[in-house]
Amino acid sequence: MAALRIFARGNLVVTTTLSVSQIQQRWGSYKSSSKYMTPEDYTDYEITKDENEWKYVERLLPYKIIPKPPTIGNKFPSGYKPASASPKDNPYFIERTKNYMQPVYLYRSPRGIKKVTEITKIQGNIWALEHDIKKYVEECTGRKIATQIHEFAGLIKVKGDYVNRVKEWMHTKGF
Amino acid sequence: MAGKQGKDLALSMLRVLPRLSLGNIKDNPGSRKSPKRGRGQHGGDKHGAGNKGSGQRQNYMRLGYETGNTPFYLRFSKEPYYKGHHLRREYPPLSLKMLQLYIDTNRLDSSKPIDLISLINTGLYDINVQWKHAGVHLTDEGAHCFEAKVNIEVQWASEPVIAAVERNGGVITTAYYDPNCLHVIRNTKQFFSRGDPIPRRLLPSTDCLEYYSSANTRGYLADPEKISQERLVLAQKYGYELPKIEEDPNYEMLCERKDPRQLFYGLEPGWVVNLQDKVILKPKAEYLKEFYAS
Repeated sequence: MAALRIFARGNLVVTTTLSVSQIQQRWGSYKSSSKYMTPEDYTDYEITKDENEWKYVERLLPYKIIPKPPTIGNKFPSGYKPASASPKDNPYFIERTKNYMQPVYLYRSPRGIKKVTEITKIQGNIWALEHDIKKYVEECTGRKIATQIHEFAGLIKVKGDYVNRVKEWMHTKGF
Repeated sequence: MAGKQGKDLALSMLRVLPRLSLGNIKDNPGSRKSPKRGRGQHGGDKHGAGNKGSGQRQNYMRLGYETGNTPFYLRFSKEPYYKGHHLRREYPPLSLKMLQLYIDTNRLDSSKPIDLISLINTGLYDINVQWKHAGVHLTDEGAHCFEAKVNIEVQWASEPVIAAVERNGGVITTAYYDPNCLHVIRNTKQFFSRGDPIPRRLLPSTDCLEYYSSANTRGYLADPEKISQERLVLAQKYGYELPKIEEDPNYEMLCERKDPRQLFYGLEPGWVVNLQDKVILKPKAEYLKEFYAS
């Protein structure tokens, strides 16, 4: 493109700047290259306002709001299950994230030895929730688990990698 | 003393003057120097070069020489892991499971062709061109539960992935994008607001030209006839019945492909998109048409 632009203005450059020693210009982009003074020198172009063509442009632009996932249907190939519980069903409630996913995360220490499962966005009675999760995971795995409650931030930390177990339990409750 | 003169006077004076002895001699002026205090451990006499040996003589051995042992740098054979690292491309992975999840949660529209642009526009997948990322590598994790029918364009895909997509009646293409195009793809909105013409895609570099022109890997430069043949071969190899695309209600969507020089679906290189006025500017000059032609 740059080479072409230089080629296109070749005559102009030669006639005006023979005597002046010019610093090399790359014309890397439209904005960095010098501007034509007369509009006739610009390349001729056609302006189109075609609806069908503009659809292709709109397809390339990212969406401004995260699209809502389907709320009905319980069987998706990826295993996704939409939240079905309402906040009043239980003494506690776990909100979905802005991406409509369950807020359960695994944190690992720098060398990966220590694993901590973290459940966030908890509302309501966090102590009852912790009791229920603990009961479910201990029944499944057959071992005692250690938990930590941060009531003010609304999060529970479980020592060990129990992300999938916690998500399973949340599905049974509809979170 | 009176009357004595000359020699006698001198002798009489000598008789009464104090005697010269070891007790009263003094150094000649300037003959005695006070000792200087040396600096450092050895008073500066070693000049920091230690005591004895090659260190003191400063005839050091050549670098890496271990006085007769096989030197460490020659002890093992050469293993050039990072040779040509500045030219190697990297394809950040995306599993079929995640692709299915994006489609299930409406993050991707499977009724339109999926390419790197739509993947990046989900906000869930991203590449860094500075880190030599060259596009998406679709991996086979979740191939068993992949059920979407898509027309997808990726940069790298293995055989099971191709089989998983084609089993559902979908179409997969592997395509190459040069770094300049990848910069455009990463932020299309920013690119359009810059007012630059849409760049033309460059052809793949020699190290991956074979991959992108092979029908086995569904390369975008491969012969379509050969690709349809390879689709049948793969269906027999993996033991599934190949759904007929011609009879599909979404036949037109499944057949949408980009030209090897084309960056966006439906938009040609050289066009300038004006987002403000919602118009497209198309150059008329012959030399530009010739340059952007594929």
